[in-house]
Amino acid sequence: MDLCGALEIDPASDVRLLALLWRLGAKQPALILREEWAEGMAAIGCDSLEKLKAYVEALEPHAMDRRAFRDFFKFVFLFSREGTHRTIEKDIVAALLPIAIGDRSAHTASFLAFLENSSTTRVTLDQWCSFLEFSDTVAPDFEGYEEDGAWPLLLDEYVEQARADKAV
Amino acid sequence: MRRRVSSGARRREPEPPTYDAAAIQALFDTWADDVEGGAMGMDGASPRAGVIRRRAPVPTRGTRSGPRAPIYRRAIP
Repeated sequence: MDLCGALEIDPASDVRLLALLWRLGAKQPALILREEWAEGMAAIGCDSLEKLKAYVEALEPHAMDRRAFRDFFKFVFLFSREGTHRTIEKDIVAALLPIAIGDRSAHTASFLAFLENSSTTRVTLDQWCSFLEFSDTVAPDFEGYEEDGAWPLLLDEYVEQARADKAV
Repeated sequence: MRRRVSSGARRREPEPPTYDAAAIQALFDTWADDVEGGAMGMDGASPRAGVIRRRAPVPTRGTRSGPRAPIYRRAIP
C-alpha cells in the first residue's frame, strides 16, 4: 500500500495530499526525500499513521489566506512537473487546475475549455501563477481586466476568445 | 491587592511537541519505493499518474520548428 492508500485519499479529486507534501517541505518534483519527510513530520508533530490521518483530514488549502495559498499553488505546479521539465502538459493542467484552485476561481472551466482548443501544448510556471492572480483580479464578466495590463499572452487570448464567443 | 507575577512565569513558552523520530522513519520505510529508500515516489500524489496513462506517447524528437511564440504581448512597464 502506498501513502495515498494508507491515508485513504484519491489524488485525482482530493488536493489534501499535495497540501501535506507542501507542508512537509517536498522540494523536488514527484518525490519526497527521507530528510524532508523526517523534518516535516517532526514539524507537524506526526509520528503515526493515525496522527497523520487526523492532520490530513484537517488540511483545507482552499481556506488559506491569499499569501499562503499562492505559495501552495506554486508548489502544486513545481511538484507536478516531470523530471527537470519547466512546463506542464496542458492535459495535466486540465486535471490538476480544478482540484488545485478549487472554488477560488470563477474562470477555471472556461479557461480550460479555451486551453483545450488552443494551440498551446504546455503551460509555464508564470502562466500557472498568473492564472491565480488573474482569478483574484478579474471578475467572471472580465470586469477588472485591463487592455494594457501585462498578463501572459495566453490569458490575453483567453479573454479575447471568451469575449468573441459572447458576442456571437 | 493583586500579587505581582514574575514575567518569567507569565511568558513561559509552550513545550515543543514530542515525537518519536524512529516511528517517523519507520513510516517512511513503509512507503518508500526507491532502491535505497532515500526518497518516496509521489507520482500518485496528483492527477498526473492517471492522466499520463491515458495519453498517447509523446514524440521526443523533431517536434520543434520555427521561432518560439512570444510569451507576453506587451512589455511589462
